[in-house]
Amino acid sequence: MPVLLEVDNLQTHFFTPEGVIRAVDGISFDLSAGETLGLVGESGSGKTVTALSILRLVPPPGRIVEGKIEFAGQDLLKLTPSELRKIRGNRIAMVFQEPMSALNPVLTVGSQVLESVRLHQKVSRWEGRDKTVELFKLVGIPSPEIRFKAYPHQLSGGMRQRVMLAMALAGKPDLLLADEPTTALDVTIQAQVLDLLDKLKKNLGMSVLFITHDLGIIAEHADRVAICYAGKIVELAPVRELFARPAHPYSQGLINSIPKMFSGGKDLKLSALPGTVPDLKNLPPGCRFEPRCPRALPLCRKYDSEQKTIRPGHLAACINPLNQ
Amino acid sequence: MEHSSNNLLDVLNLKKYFPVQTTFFSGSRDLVHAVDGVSFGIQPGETLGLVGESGCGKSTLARLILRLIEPDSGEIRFAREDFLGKRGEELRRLRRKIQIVFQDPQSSLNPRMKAGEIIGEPIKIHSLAPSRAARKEMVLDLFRQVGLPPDSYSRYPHEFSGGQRQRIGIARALALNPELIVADEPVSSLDVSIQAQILNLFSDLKTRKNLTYLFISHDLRVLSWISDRIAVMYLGEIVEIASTPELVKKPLHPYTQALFAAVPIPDPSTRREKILVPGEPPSPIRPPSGCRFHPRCPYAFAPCKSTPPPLKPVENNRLVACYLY
Amino acid sequence: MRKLLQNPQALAGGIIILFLALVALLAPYLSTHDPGEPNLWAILLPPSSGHLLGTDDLGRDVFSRMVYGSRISLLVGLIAVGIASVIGIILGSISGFYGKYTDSIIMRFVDIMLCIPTFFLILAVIALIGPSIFNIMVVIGVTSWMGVTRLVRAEFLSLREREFVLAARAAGAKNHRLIIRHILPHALNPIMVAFTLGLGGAIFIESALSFLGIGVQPPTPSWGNILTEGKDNIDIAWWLSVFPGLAILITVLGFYLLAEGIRELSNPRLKK
Ligand SMILES: Nc1ncnc2c1ncn2[C@@H]1O[C@H](COP(=O)(O)OP(=O)(O)OP(=O)(O)O)[C@@H](O)[C@H]1O
Ligand SMILES: Nc1ncnc2c1ncn2[C@@H]1O[C@H](COP(=O)(O)OP(=O)(O)OP(=O)(O)O)[C@@H](O)[C@H]1O
Ligand code: SF4
Ligand SMILES: [Mg+2]
Ligand SMILES: [Mg+2]
Repeated sequence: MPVLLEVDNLQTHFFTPEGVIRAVDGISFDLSAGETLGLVGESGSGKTVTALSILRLVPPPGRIVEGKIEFAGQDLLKLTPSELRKIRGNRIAMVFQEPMSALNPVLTVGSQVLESVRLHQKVSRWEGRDKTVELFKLVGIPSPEIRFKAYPHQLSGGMRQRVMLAMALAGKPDLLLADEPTTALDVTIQAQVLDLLDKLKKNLGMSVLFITHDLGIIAEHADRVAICYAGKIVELAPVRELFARPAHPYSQGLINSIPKMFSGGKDLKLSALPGTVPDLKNLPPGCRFEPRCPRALPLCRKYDSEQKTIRPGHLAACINPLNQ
Repeated sequence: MEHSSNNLLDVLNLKKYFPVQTTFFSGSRDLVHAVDGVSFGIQPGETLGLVGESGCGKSTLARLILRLIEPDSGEIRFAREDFLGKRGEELRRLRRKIQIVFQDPQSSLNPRMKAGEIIGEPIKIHSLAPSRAARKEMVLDLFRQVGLPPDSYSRYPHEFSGGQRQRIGIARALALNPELIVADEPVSSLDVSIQAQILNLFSDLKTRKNLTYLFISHDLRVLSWISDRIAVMYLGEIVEIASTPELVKKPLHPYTQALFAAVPIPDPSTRREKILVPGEPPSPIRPPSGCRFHPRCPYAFAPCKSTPPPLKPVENNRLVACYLY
Repeated sequence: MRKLLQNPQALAGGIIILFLALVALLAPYLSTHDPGEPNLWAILLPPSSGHLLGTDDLGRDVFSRMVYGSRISLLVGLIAVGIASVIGIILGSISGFYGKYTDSIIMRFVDIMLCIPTFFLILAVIALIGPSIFNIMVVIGVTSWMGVTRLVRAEFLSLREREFVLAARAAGAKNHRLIIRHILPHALNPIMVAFTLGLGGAIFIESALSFLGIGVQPPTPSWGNILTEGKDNIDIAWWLSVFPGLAILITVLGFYLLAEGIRELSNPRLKK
């Protein structure tokens, strides 16, 4: 599969009066056509900022300080604003965690989706309307003609997220950045939306960068997974490989933190990672996971490990990796 | 009603409807059937898990049990005493034995009080400490129990991380030495690695202090780890109660089955074809007739649409409200 | 507090009010003449180095009268708004905290009060009980608590369901503790906004009453009655009307700016 997106040493920092927040601090990964890459990490690890950086939508005081983002052979960081607009929404689209804040509350959802249809395809209002209704059908909105006239607040969270998907699909994107699209939804609705995403991806041949903090979703829906910790990717591996033989102690800690449904054992303790994530304004000098790491060596406090190939296609940034 | 009571808590046919104004002009009052005839019991030392989707009435039930809101009808018995009949001093005495931990540690801590004051407040209210110094000693001891550093005493809630704030919330609940703790989604807003720490804390405290929990969550993975029994709630009603191993092994109610099917399992080697239920939960203002799940149920047949199925026992002490059993 | 200093509106308002307060405090040192002493040799003199803001038709020094007048204006404002705030906070707390019938009764009462044009009510009452500084303060106070009541009630309604209040209730806290320790402190910012706005308003009403001759009685100087005396000579002695008018305007503006500043800072949506 040809590589569609390549991110190399991306650094996005926020320059606040309290100090520089290194939200994304040297992230590299690639994404092939038709692939789903899961980007997992805890709150504040830089997942959203990574996605926003790809679209060059980082809000001030944030700035992309360094790195290369190559999409279909073009360096996105070198594009002019008008070239960039041709890519945004057209070839790369994004859906957000909270669809309510991404939708305009005073316009009907139909007119909002219609607007993005007409932005990306040269069609008349009437054709656009038909296309919108088609999109609504595609994302599984029941009675689309009626929902066309609904306002965002009249829809449930699940329906709003489907509207967001319809809007994202209007430009027939090659790459979908999905930023926790199901986090705000109930499990049964989440399962429906995830199922829908899988089908859309297969039928339209899209690549998906799927951002989530739920390893369960990754296990069920991603091809490869990148584990993010405090602005860095600490491990990158095919899904099965990651769960079977995690190399980074943080990955293993995350996997072990999830209560297993079928373990049954009552007085079993969850193997929790101690401590909390470091302050991004004030990172430890060595490996940023060292203060919480059960396998830390004295060396880890001084040196930050480079990404190393553990096995073909399996990278980890750790001096003392597991399962080698 | 006759009830076998060595239970610590008994809830009998509890109902709470909230009036809401639906149409702006007519001013007609509709009712949200938030909790609609709920009954269950919890034995001393047991953890009963309560699972259900957003808006099904979990928090309302929790607030009813603490008498933070008053039910429209039904009974609550705590240690065989009629809790709802209590007033004044008697109510305060009984209240000490039931405490609550909230979902959002941010909004459940008074931002203008220091951690020490927050945890010391219940002790002060009930005059449990003979002196100010003794109270501080008790608070410091609670800090130790929940794993907070002693220098937390004079820090404000915003100076703590999410996990630490939840520890403050737990310490406050423990301050009165309660017998029952109602935990309303206490780990839902936390990151997985922190969630595991807090779950371990709940489990530790339970054994150390011989506590009884009503543990509310929408995450079956969490509940199946922490609970002895699980009650499944849908649109204000309990549709199934069973011991955790049995429920996990063989969910009986079609809604319970749907919940289990929807839980993402962090094990890619067991990727399975999922049977998903269609549609969304209907409005609790006009819940469907008959079985409230029938519009989404793949097995629904004629009687499901007309008469609500009663919650009745099937094999080994399980209760299910479904005509299939 | 530091944030307040960084807000340009609050800063401007604060400086104006601080200046006024200083003037009122230091009146005996700032005044160049005895404010009540007539001087037949110096009638209706325009502003000069001897009489900074000129003199009135009895030859009294306008600057000194205005400096002493600021004491009266600020005092009347503070006490009147103090009375209004106390009534408003008590009624609003009860209304918002207990809800139900208590709330309905208090809110109906507020509606009735709001139907009556306050200024005419004040006029009528003062006409009845006679003008004195004390009467004016009390009457302004007891006729202008409705805004604070509504505001405090709204704050209480939204705060009483907050989880930290519920948690305190579950811990057995009694109602007065919930109100004073847990809810009221969070309503303080909006109360401060109302208080500050109210001050400007009360000073304005006092001036208006004095202007109409039923407020602070001469010879006690207040900006309002200096203005009244000025209106008879407005064609020959502009300074008699312009300076007290400006003082009232700037004071009301100062309080308004400060209130806006506090409001902006306490609104989390504007904070970002
Ligand atoms: N506009 C901003 N100004 C300052 N700092 C910001 C801004 N946006 C993000 N950050 C910081 O960047 C870091 C990464 O944020 P990001 O939103 O990417 O996290 P995330 O991994 O998406 O977390 P979550 O799971 O909570 O969505 C955070 O520590 C955050 O504080
Ligand atoms: N004070 C209230 N007034 C009106 N309706 C209310 C009130 N409190 C709750 N409700 C309604 O009652 C229903 C049950 O709400 P509840 O908060 O108990 O649900 P929940 O199961 O805790 O949901 P979640 O998982 O979102 O916390 C909802 O439809 C809610 O909108
Ligand atoms: S009672 Fe009928 S509709 Fe309800 S869950 Fe059982 S089979 Fe389905
Ligand atoms: Mg994010
Ligand atoms: Mg809830």
